[in-house]
Amino acid sequence: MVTIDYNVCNRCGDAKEKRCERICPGDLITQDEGGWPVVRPLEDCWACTSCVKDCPVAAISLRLPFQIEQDAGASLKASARGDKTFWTITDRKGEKEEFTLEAVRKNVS
Amino acid sequence: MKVGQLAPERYRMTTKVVNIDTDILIIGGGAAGCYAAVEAKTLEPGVRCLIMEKAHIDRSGCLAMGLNSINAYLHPGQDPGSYLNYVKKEFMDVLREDLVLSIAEGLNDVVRKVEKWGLPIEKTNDGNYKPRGKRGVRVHGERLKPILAEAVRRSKVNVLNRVAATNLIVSDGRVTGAFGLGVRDGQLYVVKARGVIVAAGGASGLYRPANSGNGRHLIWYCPWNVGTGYALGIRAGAEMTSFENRFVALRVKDVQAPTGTLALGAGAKQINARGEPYLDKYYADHPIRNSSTYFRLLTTMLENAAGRGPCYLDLSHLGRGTKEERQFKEDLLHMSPTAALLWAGRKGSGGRLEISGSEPYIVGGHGEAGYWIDVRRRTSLPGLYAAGDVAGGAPKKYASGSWVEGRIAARTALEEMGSVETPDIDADIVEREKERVTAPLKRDTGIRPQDMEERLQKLMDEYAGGLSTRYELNEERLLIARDLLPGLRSHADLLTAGGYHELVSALEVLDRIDVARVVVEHLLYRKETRWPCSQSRLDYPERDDDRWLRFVNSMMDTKTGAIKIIERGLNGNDRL
Repeated sequence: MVTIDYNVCNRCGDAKEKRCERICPGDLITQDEGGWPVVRPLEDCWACTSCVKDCPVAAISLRLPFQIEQDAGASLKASARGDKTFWTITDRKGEKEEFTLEAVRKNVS
Repeated sequence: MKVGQLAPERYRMTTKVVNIDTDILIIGGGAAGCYAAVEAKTLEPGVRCLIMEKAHIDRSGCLAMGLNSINAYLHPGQDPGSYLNYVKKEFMDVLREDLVLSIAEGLNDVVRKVEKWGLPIEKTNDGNYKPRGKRGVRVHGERLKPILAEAVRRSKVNVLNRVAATNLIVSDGRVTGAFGLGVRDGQLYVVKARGVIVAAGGASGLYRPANSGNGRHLIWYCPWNVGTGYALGIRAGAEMTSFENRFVALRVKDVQAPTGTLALGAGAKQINARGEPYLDKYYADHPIRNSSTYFRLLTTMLENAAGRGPCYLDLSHLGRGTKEERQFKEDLLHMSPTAALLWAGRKGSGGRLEISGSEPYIVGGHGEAGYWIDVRRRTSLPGLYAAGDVAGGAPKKYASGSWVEGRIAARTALEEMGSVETPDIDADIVEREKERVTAPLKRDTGIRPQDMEERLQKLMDEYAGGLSTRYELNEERLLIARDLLPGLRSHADLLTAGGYHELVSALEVLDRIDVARVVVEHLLYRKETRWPCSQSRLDYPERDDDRWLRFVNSMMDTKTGAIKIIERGLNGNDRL
């Protein structure tokens, strides 16, 4: 289940189609009248993190729904940049664990 | 104004028609579709090749989350024959050997190709791929889908993103194109083609999912693979095979992350609530011990039924904060980020993850439900080829096998295209499809797609062997499902949608019902139990090789909508 932090989101400037809107495989992100991205039926989210990884300002995070994780649990952010993907998992005590993972080979042909 | 509040969607009631002419049309830009497109442009750079994709090819279909393992590859010492023997044992001898062999022969080529396109693959010191289990390859595949999409772009393939296929166009018995609905613009795309490859994935959402509410889409299979790829062919009268071979996945409970790949990658054992590893005690004399896919799930169900549940994957040997645990988490991030969250929230759980079966899916990539095809991936409809999850008879193809099928389908489509000229499409047919597709927008009241979807999932769950009946089937229940489904389908003319997004959902639920009808007919027809949990008949509990070493196929009458069953032998040729 994704959450958009509107204090961080910059609406991708004045881009007509926002990055998260462009990428969501379920066509679940649209815009409100002010051009802010909105997730429509939140319960339809697959938690694939496509929007999380593509957000240029890391405004989107993923956590498990309350039905599944009653103690709030952990949240996750990710950023796909160049040939690496950067991940941060924050546990419920606020402790962070970071990962920098190779995602694309160099010398693509 | 408050941020994040959704205003009603603005949409047009009148639909513009967009006509497109191409040589090869590929429906669905997932694993098989992307590979097919690149192959077509590589062989014939001048060919006009178009992908019609419901989402955006950068993150669509099964691979949207990524992969940490390519599950089908021939390591040194293995060959197509050994691969076939393995799949044959796993699927209790009912499969198309010719199709499986043709996949096995291409596996290593396509994996090397995708590595060249940018997929990071771990290697051993001697330069071979690092094995993960017997037939797997460990990959860093978080970005696999964008990598495939980039190869498509480099090959100058045309891509129609955000267009959902609604029906095939058939002229004089030949498939000559397809209709698509613009998910964002509500336009009707009429694509004429000299060859059509269907690669639109399998079907989820036929059965009630394991979670409800905000968790309802935390399912194993991509929730936007709704069976459209099958439904297009079913409605056009294509022959389909093995829809009774449902796929039930043994998964990490709640988040639906794979267990097989965790077991292989992290050396996890399946244990019951008492901490006992239980697979071994069933091995000695169990008739399906050679089929790990079914055996691992069935034994978990048996342990639960005996009061020794819940069952777990035991990962306690990883500890916390070790190198091994770190690698385990990296693997999860490449493929199942929700499982990484679950793991992070379970620090005091003693390193166990609870496991359970998923709701059933219809897929040709793990299972073998799909179009009945020949070895060149031709369906029973001239001009239509199938690859990947929609293609039947060849289970355990996974991503790499889907690439091989995409490659074969592209080659065949190019060869057969020859001098085919596509006829103009009858204006009446276009008008009728426009009416059908947009009708739910014009109704102010009626049945919402979500309600129809939940009705379908409830009846399939209760009468066609869903989670609530432990996947078990019997004739009386199935007959109720058979009676209910046509009535549900007939309510298509009551569906209402408040915008394009919901309109797509309305068309999707009809696709799901068409697939479900075929599933129920197949389940009724196979009067034995061949694949436990996938196809467990309480009224025919034994496997019967004398009678049922055969394929159950079907075809829908395009005029009456009646489904006819056709039996075929294992060599695929004889018709009864």
